Amino acid sequence: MGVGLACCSLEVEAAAAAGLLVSELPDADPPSTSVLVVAGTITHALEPALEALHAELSASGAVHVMCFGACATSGGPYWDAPAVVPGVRSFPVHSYVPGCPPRPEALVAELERLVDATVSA
Amino acid sequence: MISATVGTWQQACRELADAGLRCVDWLTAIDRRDALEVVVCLVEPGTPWCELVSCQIDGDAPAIPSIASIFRGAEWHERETAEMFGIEFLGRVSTEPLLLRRSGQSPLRKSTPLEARVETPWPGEESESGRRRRKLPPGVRPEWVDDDG
Amino acid sequence: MDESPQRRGVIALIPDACTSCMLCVKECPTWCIELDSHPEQNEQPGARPRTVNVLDDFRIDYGLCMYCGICIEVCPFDALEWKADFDYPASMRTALTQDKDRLASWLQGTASDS
Repeated sequence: MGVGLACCSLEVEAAAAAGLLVSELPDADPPSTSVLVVAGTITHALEPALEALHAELSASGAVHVMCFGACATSGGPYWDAPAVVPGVRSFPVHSYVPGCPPRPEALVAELERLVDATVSA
Repeated sequence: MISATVGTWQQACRELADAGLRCVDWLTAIDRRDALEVVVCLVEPGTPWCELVSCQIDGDAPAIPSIASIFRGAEWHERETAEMFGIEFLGRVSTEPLLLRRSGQSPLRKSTPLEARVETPWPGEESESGRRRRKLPPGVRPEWVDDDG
Repeated sequence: MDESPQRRGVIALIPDACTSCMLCVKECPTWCIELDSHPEQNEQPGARPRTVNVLDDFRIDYGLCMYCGICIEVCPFDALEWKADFDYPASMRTALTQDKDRLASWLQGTASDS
């Protein structure tokens, strides 16, 4: 589940458009872990919507949160702006992908690591 | 650029609208320290034709007539400019904040401190050995630091 | 996938070239660079003792870095350079801050996970 908030979402879309985000899950069961990719700047106005989305995903299973890019991690270049939340702070984050923006390949690599870790667990 | 006064602002914009510039491309303000300057860019879509109109207004009690009755597209820009600079657009129904959580912040005014940069320790500050000249971080105005004591 | 060496993947540090002048620290727009140093007296036979800066640590917080390259451009001693590796995520926010040794290890190519 990609939350495209700003320019980083273009890199997520690039990965999706290149067909790199489709992976086959080994089981037929619905996945019990969902991945929330926060890509872009979080503003105070939008933060409640992000929290609501996380709550909704959490209701149906574990959520692995990935901060994609500097803004989602720390506010990035806008960390000082009055309207900006300096990084995800409302729920736990499990992985941070640095970049401004990170390459689509960085997203793919981290997702592959996550899938490998989940499969081997 | 066409210069107008608070008194001639609406008329200048209306004359340009009548001449064929039917849309507001953008409207914003510039903080000139002792005054604010409101600037609007009027365009006729589909053509390269555009005109800038500017108006100096008082910095302490900034107010200017609204042109939202002439250009519907000015509504959003006036809301944003009002929020960012604390300017009152006369003749317009006051609306709730567009982008900011709280009203009254006026973050784009030079007198409004960028608190995050004033309070956060700057890594480039004077080192312990004391051999470097103390300087403020770029973008932090001396008056913000003096005010905070 | 292009492997251009000029690709802005990560910033590497050449510690021996760094004089702790702090220009990169001061010019970084996001304040993501920190530098620790201390002065030492450098005595050479036959010369007056000179004060030199010794670099203790150099840290870049890649959670804040916007990859503008101003630090690389402004360094008078070319102690910072772009490297192509882009894949260095972290599971903890603090682990995105890379210290002097990690930044120097990028010079050999892909750094080890540390």
